[in-house]
Amino acid sequence: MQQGKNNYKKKYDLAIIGGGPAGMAAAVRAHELGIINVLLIERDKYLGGILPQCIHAGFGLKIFNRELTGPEYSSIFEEKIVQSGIDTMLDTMALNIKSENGLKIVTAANSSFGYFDIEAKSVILALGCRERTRGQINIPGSRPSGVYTAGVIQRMVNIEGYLPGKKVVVLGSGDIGLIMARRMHLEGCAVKGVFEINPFSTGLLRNIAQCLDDFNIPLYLSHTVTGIIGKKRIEAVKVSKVDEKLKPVKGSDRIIECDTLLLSVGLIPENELSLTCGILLDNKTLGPVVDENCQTSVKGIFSCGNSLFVNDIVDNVTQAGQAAAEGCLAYLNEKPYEEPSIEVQAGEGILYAVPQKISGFKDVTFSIRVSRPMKNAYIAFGDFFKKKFKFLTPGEMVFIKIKKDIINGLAGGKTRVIKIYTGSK
Amino acid sequence: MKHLKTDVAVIGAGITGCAIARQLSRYVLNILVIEKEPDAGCGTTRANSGLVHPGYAGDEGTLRLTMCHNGSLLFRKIAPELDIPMIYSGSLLHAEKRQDIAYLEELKKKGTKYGVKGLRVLRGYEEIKKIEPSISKNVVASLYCAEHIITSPYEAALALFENAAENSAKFLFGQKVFSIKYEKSSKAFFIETEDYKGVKSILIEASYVINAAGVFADEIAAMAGDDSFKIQSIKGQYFLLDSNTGPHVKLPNLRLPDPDNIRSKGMVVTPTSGGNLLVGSNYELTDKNDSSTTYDELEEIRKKLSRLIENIPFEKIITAFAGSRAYADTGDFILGPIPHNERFINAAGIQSPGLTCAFLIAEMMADYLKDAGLPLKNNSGFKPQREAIKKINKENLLENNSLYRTDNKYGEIICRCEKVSEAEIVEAIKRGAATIDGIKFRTRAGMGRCQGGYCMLRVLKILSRELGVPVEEITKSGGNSFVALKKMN
Repeated sequence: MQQGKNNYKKKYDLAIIGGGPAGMAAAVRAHELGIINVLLIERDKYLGGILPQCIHAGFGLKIFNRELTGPEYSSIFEEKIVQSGIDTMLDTMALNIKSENGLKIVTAANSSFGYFDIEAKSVILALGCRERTRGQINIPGSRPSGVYTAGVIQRMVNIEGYLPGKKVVVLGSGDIGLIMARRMHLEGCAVKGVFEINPFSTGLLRNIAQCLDDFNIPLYLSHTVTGIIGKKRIEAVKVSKVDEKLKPVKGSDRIIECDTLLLSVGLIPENELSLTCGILLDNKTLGPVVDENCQTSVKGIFSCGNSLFVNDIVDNVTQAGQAAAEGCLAYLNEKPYEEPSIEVQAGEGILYAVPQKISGFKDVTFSIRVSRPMKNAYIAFGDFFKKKFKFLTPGEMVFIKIKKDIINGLAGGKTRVIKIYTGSK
Repeated sequence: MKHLKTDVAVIGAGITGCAIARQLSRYVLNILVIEKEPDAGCGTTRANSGLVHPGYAGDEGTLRLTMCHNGSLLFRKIAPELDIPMIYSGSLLHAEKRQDIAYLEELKKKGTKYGVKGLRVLRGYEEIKKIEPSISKNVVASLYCAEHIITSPYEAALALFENAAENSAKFLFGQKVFSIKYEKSSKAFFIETEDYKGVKSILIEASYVINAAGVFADEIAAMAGDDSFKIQSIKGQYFLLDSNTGPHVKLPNLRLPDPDNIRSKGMVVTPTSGGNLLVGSNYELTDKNDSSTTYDELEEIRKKLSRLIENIPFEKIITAFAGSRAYADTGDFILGPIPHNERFINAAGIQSPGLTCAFLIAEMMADYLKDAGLPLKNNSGFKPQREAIKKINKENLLENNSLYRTDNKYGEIICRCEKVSEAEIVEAIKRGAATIDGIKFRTRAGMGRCQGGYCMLRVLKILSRELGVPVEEITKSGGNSFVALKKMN
């Protein structure tokens, strides 16, 4: 999997940016579908994106029906990419995309070729996501070392082989926070607790059991870090209870000694590259607005995986990559294109729903994230479809497939907007 | 104990100490700069508004007022030699109350008297909006000043450090001055220093001492027997917004200080030389070692400045930080020899406009040394020019191949947010960066929206490789600020 001097061409049918699970799945699927002339660009020295540093098990249950570690999951796709001979450029950063007369010009750089342009008929963006930082959630205090996001610590420990500290406080109970709490515990660190600002955890229930409960790591709901203490190295954090509006309760704070603060406070789809060619973003998902073919507002550019919206599990990311390759095939074959003229809106209780636009002439599986936990609730599409759930939570994405027959009736009529909303029975 | 001997010891490698070192390197002298932090420009220099002030503010009769305009002219003359960024932006100082218009007129008169050109009081929203489209309707009048300049204070200090070092000034980093003794017979100062652990292993013998120790200058002066002044640390907090938000405003928008807060410079919303938007700062008397941000104060800044500028994109905050200003209880700069020993010279109490006046203060220090009997013989080999690290062209990417052909590490992007290549990082290390922050302030790697999430570990490994130091010994900012605690088995 080395970038060779001769293994890239000037022109491709499809350029895939990002060799994580979404990009790898898109590449493999594109090859299966007969798109031969494909280039996969990855900025790291190896394929897999975040997977190689996720050495814990729990991946692949949905697709492969068994529990794999991140590296195992990744290697399945890496091998397929090698076998199918897909051109792969590692250690290469895509920096800009231009769309000119229907062609896409991707400008990239690496240390073997310098700065160069690649011409592609279509592009799949599989850019992944980045972690929200301390600055973005405005934790006050000093600015010492020892304050890291979960992904940074995961890479430091699992790839580079260095331990950041011995006494750890975790802020945020999303899955990465929970998994890293366990990881630090297993490395012999004292994990002082996982603090979550919401009255509920956004992580998967199985992770709360397997990562915290099994190791007696306390979870403090409705708590947050309100101060960082320590001149050069972090020495302690101040934690406080929060009220219903998530504001710190005066007088509820206490000091917890630590040498590491691990932040797992959310992920943001990575779309700097999407913005270079003017792709329209959704201000809720922070990913591109797409139609049922994963096509963005720029024709011939598709988006998938965590750069489209943040997924819960990698199996979903893989499927998203495959779907983008399928959407791309239709584009490359110049099949008659159904304009996505129906707008999908997120209503009461819905944080977002993707795709945001549909044609109405195809079965569509919507990825829906609710905005708060609900019991015995339903998700409704306008007045024509309703599905009941015992339990809904923002931590677990809901997938609802709507048959084209149902939508078609609508599209044939005058409806141009479908509102998705929740309610209780 | 290591024994070092020098003609002049400069205590403190902030903008003032670095400017002094560079000025003195014009002469045939041994110069040693002693700094407790691991790099130049780590204190007050690192966290301020980054403006070269024109010279209309400050009380009559103070050096802070009378030196400012000449300081600004000298800054403009020297900065290009050192490739220090300068944006001739101009500025607006806004008044929200009608009764403050008279005060703006007063400032205009004062500035004009000291040589500031092009000062104009603008009245009414429409008039001001022509210059600053993001202005709020709460503003009733503004003082326009064509002579305000946006610069980068830490880049200025680092440029001065590099140039001084190239002209053979020596810098001793990570050593804090512990005691100073003067020996009358040999007319020499003996300066004992210690590292962050308190280990004392170096004794410096200096014929002359310049005290440019920022908020700690009173403590240094007291070691030499001058306890005539006290320094208070004034803390100011800022928000830094993403590197594409700078154009939200056209120029620095200053807010009049609150009436109960006359020692403050007031707040500002300004683009930075790096394209960010900088929003701050307030004014608090604090402990000298306190550079923490606080929720309430940041909220106050947000509220007050939102009254001046419409729709500040606070959702694009990437970080918040606090800086300190060295405010002497005399209310002014303290420049010159201490009462009983002309060989110990203070450059103290340099609160705003310290950046503006740094070059002028440096020239004055050379004069004081001469007056105290130090012969200043011109250094014929003095090189005034310094070039900034060559950065990637983000607009025209293919043009970077000319850089790439000189060094293929220009093709390896290490910081994705700010587009910093490995070549720039290696060059920064050659120029003296030895910490994660040292790389950040020289190259902007880690300064972007992901705050080092992508590049920090990569930078760590490059530092380790280039310096030949194990990863677990690399720090964020010196002392015990280790990034990784230990290597795992």
